[in-house]
Amino acid sequence: MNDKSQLLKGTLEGCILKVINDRETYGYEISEKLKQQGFSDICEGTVYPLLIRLERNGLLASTKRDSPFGPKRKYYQLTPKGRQELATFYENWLALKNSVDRLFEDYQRGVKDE
Amino acid sequence: MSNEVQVMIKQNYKFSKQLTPENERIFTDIVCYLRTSDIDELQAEEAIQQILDMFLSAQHRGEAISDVIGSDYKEFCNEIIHSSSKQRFSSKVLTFLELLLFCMVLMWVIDLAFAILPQIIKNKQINLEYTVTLGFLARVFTVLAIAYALINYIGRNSFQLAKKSRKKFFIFGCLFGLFILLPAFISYLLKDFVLFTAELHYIGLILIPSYLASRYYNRWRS
Repeated sequence: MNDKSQLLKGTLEGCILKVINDRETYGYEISEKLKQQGFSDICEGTVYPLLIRLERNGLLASTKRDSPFGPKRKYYQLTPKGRQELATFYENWLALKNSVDRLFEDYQRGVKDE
Repeated sequence: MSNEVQVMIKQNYKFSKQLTPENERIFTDIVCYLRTSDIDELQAEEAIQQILDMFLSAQHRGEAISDVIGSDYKEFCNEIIHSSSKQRFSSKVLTFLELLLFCMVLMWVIDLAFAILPQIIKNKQINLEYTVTLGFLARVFTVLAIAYALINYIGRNSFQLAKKSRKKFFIFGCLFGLFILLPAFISYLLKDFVLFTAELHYIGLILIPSYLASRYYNRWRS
């Protein structure tokens, strides 16, 4: 449970939805955006299976466009269901974040006092 | 196999020629593994297309594949398989039926070439009587079963098999020998069990149109 990737697993799908909500994008751009925001262990290979799952569950739609190297590249957009899911995720995330913050409020002070 | 899937397979193959030898080796392992998995054919080919774009883009940026998809390629594929839709049972049956009919037509043509043509040349007359023996059917089924098992074995173990070893070469040699000898042996054993005799053109009239129909149906159903 202390493993960062375990903590990350549940939140990553929500974060991907947020990145796609900002603008239509594809796998590599999503992973780069997440890296920029501090998700250091994320690579395209982590993001791609999640994109498949999100599309299969109807949260994403995709358009194939020409890529500079030949094979078509999939660009993803949020579906109405995806936008709804994003809102729910953020709501749940805030509630969870607040609870964890509240619980740990005195923790850091305690550590500092020692 | 649907038309869309066939077009994608051709395109993916064409673009994969741009890969460096090392990347092409890894890509081929991934393709074998995904194509023999039980995900829907179209989804598997789409995943292959997207992975190819990942590979070519990484190559262009000068990055190693392990930086893009991690160093455990099998795990990466398993994540994809886990996230994708499974192939429907009806689709599996249809694909198998197409394969079975293709195999029968092929064996029949081979049989014609090796058994009937020499007779025609020798006797200078066309013998339209064609005998279908149990050996013929047994040969079709053993060839199909061994080919199916071999392809699935290679696919499922593509990442391990990429590491060459003498033992694997030996096992493969034996399997290939079996592939050649077993059907021949079985059909020799059963060659005297005559199922029916029919005129040559009737057999072709049944086999070829039914193969074409199954192929046509499979291509256009999706």
